[in-house]
Amino acid sequence: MRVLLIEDNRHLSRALRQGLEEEGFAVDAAEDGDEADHKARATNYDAIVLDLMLPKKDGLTLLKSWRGAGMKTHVLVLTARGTLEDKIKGLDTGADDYLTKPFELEELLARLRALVRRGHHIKDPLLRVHDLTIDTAARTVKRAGKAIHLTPKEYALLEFLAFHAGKVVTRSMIWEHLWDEHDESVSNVVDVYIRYLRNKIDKDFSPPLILTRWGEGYMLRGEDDAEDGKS
Amino acid sequence: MKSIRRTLLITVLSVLVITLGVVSVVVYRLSVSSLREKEQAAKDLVEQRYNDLQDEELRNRADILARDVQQNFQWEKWGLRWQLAEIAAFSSPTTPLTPVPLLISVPTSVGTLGSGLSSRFATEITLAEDETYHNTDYEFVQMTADWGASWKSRSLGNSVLPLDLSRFRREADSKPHWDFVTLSDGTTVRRVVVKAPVTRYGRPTGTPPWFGRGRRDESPHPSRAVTGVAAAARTPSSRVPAPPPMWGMGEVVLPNFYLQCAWDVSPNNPLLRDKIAERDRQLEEIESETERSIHNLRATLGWTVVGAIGITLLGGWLLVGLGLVPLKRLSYAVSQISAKDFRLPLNPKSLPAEVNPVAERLSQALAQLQSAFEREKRAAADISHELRTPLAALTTTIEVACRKPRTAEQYKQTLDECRAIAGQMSLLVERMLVLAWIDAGVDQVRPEPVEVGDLVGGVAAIVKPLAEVQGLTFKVNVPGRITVRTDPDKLREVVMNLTHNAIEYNRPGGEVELSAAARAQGGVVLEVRDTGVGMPEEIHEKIFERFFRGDPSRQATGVHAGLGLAIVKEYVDRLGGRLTVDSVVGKGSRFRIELPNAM
Repeated sequence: MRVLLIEDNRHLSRALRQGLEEEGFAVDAAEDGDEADHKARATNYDAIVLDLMLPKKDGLTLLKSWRGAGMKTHVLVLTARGTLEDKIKGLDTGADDYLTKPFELEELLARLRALVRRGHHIKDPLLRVHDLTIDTAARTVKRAGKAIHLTPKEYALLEFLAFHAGKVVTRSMIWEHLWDEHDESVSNVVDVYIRYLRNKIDKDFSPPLILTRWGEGYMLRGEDDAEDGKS
Repeated sequence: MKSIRRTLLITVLSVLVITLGVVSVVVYRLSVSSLREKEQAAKDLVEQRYNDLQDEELRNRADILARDVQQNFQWEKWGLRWQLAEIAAFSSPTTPLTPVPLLISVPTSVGTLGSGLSSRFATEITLAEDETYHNTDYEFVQMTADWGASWKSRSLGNSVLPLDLSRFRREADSKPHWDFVTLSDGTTVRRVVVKAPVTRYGRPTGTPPWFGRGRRDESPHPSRAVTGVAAAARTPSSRVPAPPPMWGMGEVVLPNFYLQCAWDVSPNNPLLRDKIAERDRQLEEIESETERSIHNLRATLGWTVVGAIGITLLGGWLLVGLGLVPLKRLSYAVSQISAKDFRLPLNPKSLPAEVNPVAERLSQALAQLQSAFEREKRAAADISHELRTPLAALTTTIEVACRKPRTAEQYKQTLDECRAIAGQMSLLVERMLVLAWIDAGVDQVRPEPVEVGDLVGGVAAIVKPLAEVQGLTFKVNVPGRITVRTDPDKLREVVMNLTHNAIEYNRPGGEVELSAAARAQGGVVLEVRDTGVGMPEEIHEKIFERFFRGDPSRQATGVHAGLGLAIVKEYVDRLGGRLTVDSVVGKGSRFRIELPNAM
C-alpha cells in the first residue's frame, strides 16, 4: 500500500518513513503544503498521513481543497493540535481519521490498515480466499493451515492481490501501489515478485491462486472462479 | 451601598422640602399679614362706625340740649339776661301775641356808663339740669354764651371743658365739632361742641315780614325756623348764610350759645354700653374669623406640603425606576456574558443615549478581550504543538528502533537521532522558559561593563563555522574597543539569535556581517546584516511576535519555532535599547540595535 506522509519535522518524517516501510508500506513524503498538494493529486494513494501545521499551505486548507475537488483518498490527520475543537474541525473538514501527537506507532499502523481495508470495502481483517488465509493485522499468511513466510514486499503484493480478489490488477497498478516515488521503475520487477510469490503460495498447493491474464496483468482467484489458471 | 435612586430622591425631596418650606413660609407670612390688615381694617371700620355712632348720639344729645336751650332760654324777669351790642328791633316771629321786648342798646363804647351797665346787667346763664334728661355721672354739659358767661353741669365738678370762643365765633358755619378732652380728674371724654344761636330773640332784618311772608318760603336762605342747629342738620354743607341785612338797620350780631356735651367713653357709660357691647362683639367676631382663616391657611399649606412631598416621593420613585430600566437591562445583559461567548446580548442602539456609550465600549472591550484570549489560546496551542512534534519524533524513532532486532550500528544511529531531537527540543524549551520568565517578571537585568568587541568575537567564533557550512561568508566589523554598560548574557543571546537568523534566511553564497560602533551619546550600535531572502514591509512588525513564522520558504526545522526574534525584542526592550529592521525582498535584511548605557 502506498502512503503519502506529509510532515514538516524531518526527524519525525524520517522515523515514520522507516516505521511504515518496515510495515510494508510504500512511502512518499512531502515537507510543505505545495509539495503535498502536488503529490496528492498526482498519485492515487491508499492513504495520506497529513500534519496540519505546514509551511506554505495549511493542512486543513489542503484537505478542504482536495475534498472539494472530489478526491476520495483516505486521509489520516496526524497533528499536535489535540483539543476537542481541533478534532471535530479536522474530521468535519473531511479527514477520515484523526491522531494526535505524541502517538503510539502501533496505533498509527493499525489505523492505517483500517483505512486501507475501508478503501477496498473489506470489513474483515482476515482475508480468506479458498484455503488461503491472510491476517492483515498480524500480516501473516496461511494456506491449508500451513503458515507461509513472506518478505514484506511479497506480503504487500499478496495482500494487494487479495484486496482485488477476482479482479485483474495491471502491472502499473501494482507498481503504483507497492513501490514509492524513489524507486526506479525496473520493467519486470513486478513479474519477479509475482514469481517469488507464486513460489511460496502456489507451488505446493492447489488450486493456483495467482493467475496471469496475458496482456492485462494478474489476478488472485476469487471464490467463484473456475479452476482455469492461465488463459 | 449608594443607590442612584435613593440619592436622587433624597436630593429632590430635600430641594422640594426646602423650596416648599420657604414658599409656604413666605406665603403664610404674606397671607397672615394681609389677613391681619384686613382684620385691622374691619376692626377700624367697626371702631369708626362705633365712633361715628357715638358721635352721632352725642350730637343728637347735644342737639336736644341745644334745642332746649334755644327754646327754653328766657329772661329772668329782673334783669336783662344778656347784653346787646346794639339795639335791635325785634318782632316776635312766632305769634303776634308774644310781647315785643324792648331792648336797650347800650353801646359798649360808652365809657363808664356802658361798662357800669354791663357789669350791672351781667348775666348768667343756667340750664335747668334736673328737668332735662341727663346722665349725671357720665355726661358732662357745659354751656357758654357768646359773651363768655358759662354754665356747667354738676357732673363736671371742678373741671372745665375748655372752649376757644374766639375760634368758634370766627367760624361761619355752625357745624358741630368733636374732640377729646381730658378732665382734671384724668377722665377722657368725647366732647361735641354745638353752636346754638338763640334766634328767638334775634331776627335777621331782611325783608319786612309782611312783605316777605310769601316769599319767605322761596328764599334760598333758610328760614328762621330752620336756622341754627336745625339748619345745620338739614344742610350737610351748611354754611349759615350771612344773615340778610337788617331791615333798614345794618349788621346784627346774633347771640350764640355754645353747647358742649361730653360723654365719658368708657364702657360703663350706660348710654354707650349697648353700643360698646355691640362693637366689641363685632370686633370679636372679626378676630375669631381671622383666626379661623389663619388656621385654615395653615392647614391648607401644611396638607399641600405633605401632599407634594408624598406625590414627589411616589412619582419620583416610579420615574427614577423607569429611568434606571436601561441600566438594569445592561447589567442583566452583562450578567449573561458567558466565558465562551464574549458577546453582550444586547443591542447598544436599543439603549438611551446616556447608557449607549457604556454598552458600546463594553462590547469593544469584550471583543478585545476575546481576541486576546484567542491569541492566548493560539499561543498555548502553538507551544504545545511545538513541543509535541519533536516529542512524537523522539518516541517514534525509539519505537521504530525497538520494533525489531537491529544491528549495533542501527541502534547507534537511532541514539544519535534521539540526541539531535532532544537538542532541538531543549533549545525550544529554553526559549520558552526565557519567555515565560520574562512574562512572569522574574527575569532580571544585571548591567555591567561589557566590551562589545569581545562579546561579538565570542559569538562569531561559534557562528562562523555554521555559516561556512552553509556556504556563506561571515564578516565581523568591530573597530577598536567599545564599552557599554549592559547585561552581557542578554546581549549575547540577542546577537546569537540574530546571527542564526541571518544564516538561516540566507542564500547560498551570500554573506552575513556583524558590526558594531560606538554612539556619540554613549552606548553602542550593533548591526546584523544578511544577503538573504528579505521580508516584505507588512511583516516587519510581525516577525517579533511569538511563534510567528515569517518566511514560508524557510525549511521548517522547528528549531526556532518563531521564538528567536520574540526573545530578541524582549531583551532589547529590557536593556533599554531600540530595535529596527530594514529589509528588501530578494536583497537582504538588516537588524539594527541601539543600546544605551544602562543605569
